Amino acid sequence: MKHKSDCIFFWGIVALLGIFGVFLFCMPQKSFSETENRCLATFQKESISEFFDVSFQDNLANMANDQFIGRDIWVKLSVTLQRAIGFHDIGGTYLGKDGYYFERILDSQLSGNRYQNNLHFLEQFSEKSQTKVTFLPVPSAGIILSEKLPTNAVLYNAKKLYGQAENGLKNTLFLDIRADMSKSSKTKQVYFKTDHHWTMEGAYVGYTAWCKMHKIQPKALECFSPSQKSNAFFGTLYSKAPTFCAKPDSFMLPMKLSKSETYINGKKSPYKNSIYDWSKLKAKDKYGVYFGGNYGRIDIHTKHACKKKLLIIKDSFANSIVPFFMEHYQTITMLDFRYYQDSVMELVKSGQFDEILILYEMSNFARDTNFFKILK
Amino acid sequence: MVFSSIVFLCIFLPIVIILYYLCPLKFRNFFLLLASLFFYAWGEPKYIIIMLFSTVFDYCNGRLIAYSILKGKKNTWGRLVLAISVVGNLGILCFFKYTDFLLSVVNSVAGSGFSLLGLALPIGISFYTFQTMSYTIDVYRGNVKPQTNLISFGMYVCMFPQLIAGPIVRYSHVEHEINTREHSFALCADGMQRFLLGLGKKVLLANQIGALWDEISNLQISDMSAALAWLGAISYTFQLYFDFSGYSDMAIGLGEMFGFHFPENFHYPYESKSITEFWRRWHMTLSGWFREYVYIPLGGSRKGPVRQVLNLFLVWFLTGLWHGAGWNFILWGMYFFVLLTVEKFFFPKWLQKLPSLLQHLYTLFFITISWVIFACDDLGRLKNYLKMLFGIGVPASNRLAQYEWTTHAIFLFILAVASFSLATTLARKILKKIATHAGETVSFWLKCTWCLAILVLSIAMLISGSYNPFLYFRF
Repeated sequence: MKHKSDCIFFWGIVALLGIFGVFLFCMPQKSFSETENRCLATFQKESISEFFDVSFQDNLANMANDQFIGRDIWVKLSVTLQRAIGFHDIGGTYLGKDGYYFERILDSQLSGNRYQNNLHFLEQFSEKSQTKVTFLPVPSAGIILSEKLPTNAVLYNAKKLYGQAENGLKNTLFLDIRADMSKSSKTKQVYFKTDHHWTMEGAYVGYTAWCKMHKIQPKALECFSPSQKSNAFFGTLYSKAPTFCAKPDSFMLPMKLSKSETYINGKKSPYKNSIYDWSKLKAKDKYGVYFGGNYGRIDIHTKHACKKKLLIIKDSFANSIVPFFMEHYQTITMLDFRYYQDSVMELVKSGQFDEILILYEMSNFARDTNFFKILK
Repeated sequence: MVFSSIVFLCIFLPIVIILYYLCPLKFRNFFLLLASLFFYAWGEPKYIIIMLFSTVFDYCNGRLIAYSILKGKKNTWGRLVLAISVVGNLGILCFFKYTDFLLSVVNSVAGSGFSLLGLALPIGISFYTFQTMSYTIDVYRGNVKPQTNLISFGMYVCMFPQLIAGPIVRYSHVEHEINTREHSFALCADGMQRFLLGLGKKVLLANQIGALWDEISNLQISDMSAALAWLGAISYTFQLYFDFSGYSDMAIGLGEMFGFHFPENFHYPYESKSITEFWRRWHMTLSGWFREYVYIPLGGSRKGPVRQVLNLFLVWFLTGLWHGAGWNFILWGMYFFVLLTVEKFFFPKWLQKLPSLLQHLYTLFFITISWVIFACDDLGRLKNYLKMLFGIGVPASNRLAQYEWTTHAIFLFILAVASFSLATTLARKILKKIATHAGETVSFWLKCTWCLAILVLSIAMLISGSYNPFLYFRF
């Protein structure tokens, strides 16, 4: 009996492993993972000739992980295991209360002088430009919703960063919306649970704060006829630690916007009479519905009577606040330094903007390696 | 190729096992040699030449030594060939492992500007040079017969299960099994269980806790506290043990699948009550090698206490250096030299009189510190880390420390349980009871289920692509 069992167990495991191996090659190759929101490595036959510089081996190792049968389930299983033994952060993401995910950013990751340097670049820019410059750092979700963080969880010292901006910026207007966001978060969902971005409600808080600062009468949210466009949004934080039981976010969009034409990197966008790329609502990353994602330069021309022009230097957080601004400006130009390479100074000189807004999520700004381009 | 990778588990291993058992008995050594060469070439296509050279070199040396003994010239020609073998092996090892270190020392002392070679260390070179040396020395001593078949000898040197990270299998351990070994399903099944348990140690325990050490050791001082520094040191202590002993378990298990019995390498080292005992339980094949081929030939403890201290010094200097070309490794060796000497001469009796809990704590404290020395290859960093351990320049605790300790509490408990023999002994007893009451098959399948669960979870962790380093690449 024992002999038979030995035999079955040994060959059973060998067969099981072998079958997984066979599946690697005979299943159709997937080049993109929706769950993880990233490209997957696929098997490159031609790389066999690169055996001696080990790139074939690297390709096979990556492909074996990425094309493994039932990959999504295995990944979820690993997250479940880590949660089961009490881990509250996985892959740089806090698994918070009520299904909230938070980016895990510690002081150590924001160390060095990058933040100070970026503030310094900003000051120099404000000094040189004739136009009023406002800095609006969007607080990180974990800073506002700190009670949703896991017990004892630590984030970077936001107070210090805000303090440095407050004291260091002389020629730049500084718009600190932490109090407004906290107040609003008591009654509304201002951040997504599965994504690091702010929701439409959160962006609306930013918009009203901006209006207040610049003595503009903000419109009520209802005037934009907000409506739910999806109830199955799993954001990028979820992708880092997907689980079997996570609940999706619902995705709201302001629908009643001024008629406009959008130019992406100088070319007229295909989104008819809208800034929304509706195809993204069917994709995984629904936040891409705004303008279809992030581009170096986006110009929005509305049919407004007022002639005001706004320049926004921004990260992706600005995408959801822009629809509200469209009510108040005839032209809005957005620059994203990850992709924008031209001179900002020249643009500012020739553009005759009425306002310049610098809008970044705080930790993004503190880590941004491209912000020096503002002086170009 | 690393054992804890999908390519090894799901492609290489099944193919090799199936082909091995399809091979007729007399071709199995040859097949295992081919498979091992392929395994090595996977990660180091170019350095395979060095391993092949080493193999042929010591094959010839072994035969020449045997020939000289046969001709009654052991003390002249035999000794010369042995010297050539030892110098050759150590020469290769030193050239690849220590040249840059020596050059940088010379540069810093003499202010010269020799440019470093920047050679990558051939994987496993520290292990296979020690194995082949053990062979020629044992042939010279007459402990083993010389291997006349180059394929069999090549298979011994290159055998993939123990090629990269040991255990250091002396030729005398497997001399008999190289030529004739019995394959049985009982041994195969046993080997598979051992392999899967080792895989779990590596992937589920070592990698997970290693990620914590990695995080803590990369924190800026503003985030640090003494409690966090201790958590980091403890994490690394666990990581090293489970990484290395998991790898040894996998090697021993693989060996069994091919009919070999490799020597044990770890025996619950963190359970030791003294540093002396620790080194009888940690990396046993390495300390055994040094005892057999360095310490005892030098006279061991037989030539008086002064000579013994000198011998200990030499052995621990070399042990430290073997672990890496860096001052911290030498320091690490010296640290153990001091501890062992003190234990041996000054308070062997006194230590034994302590309550056993204190003996354990004393041992674990000094072991944990030793791994900090081991981990910090930059002496400045080492100094800073030691300072943090004792709360100099950092608070005793901070919120991050509270978070990390609580979020890892359950896991640390699991690691501690897995480090001690109690749980294993208990599990064995229970399985034995089940075997007597319900039959051997039931207890066997219970253990199999446990191993299978470990395999499934390990695959999940490997696929999710979290932290999977390999600590022994520099050996």
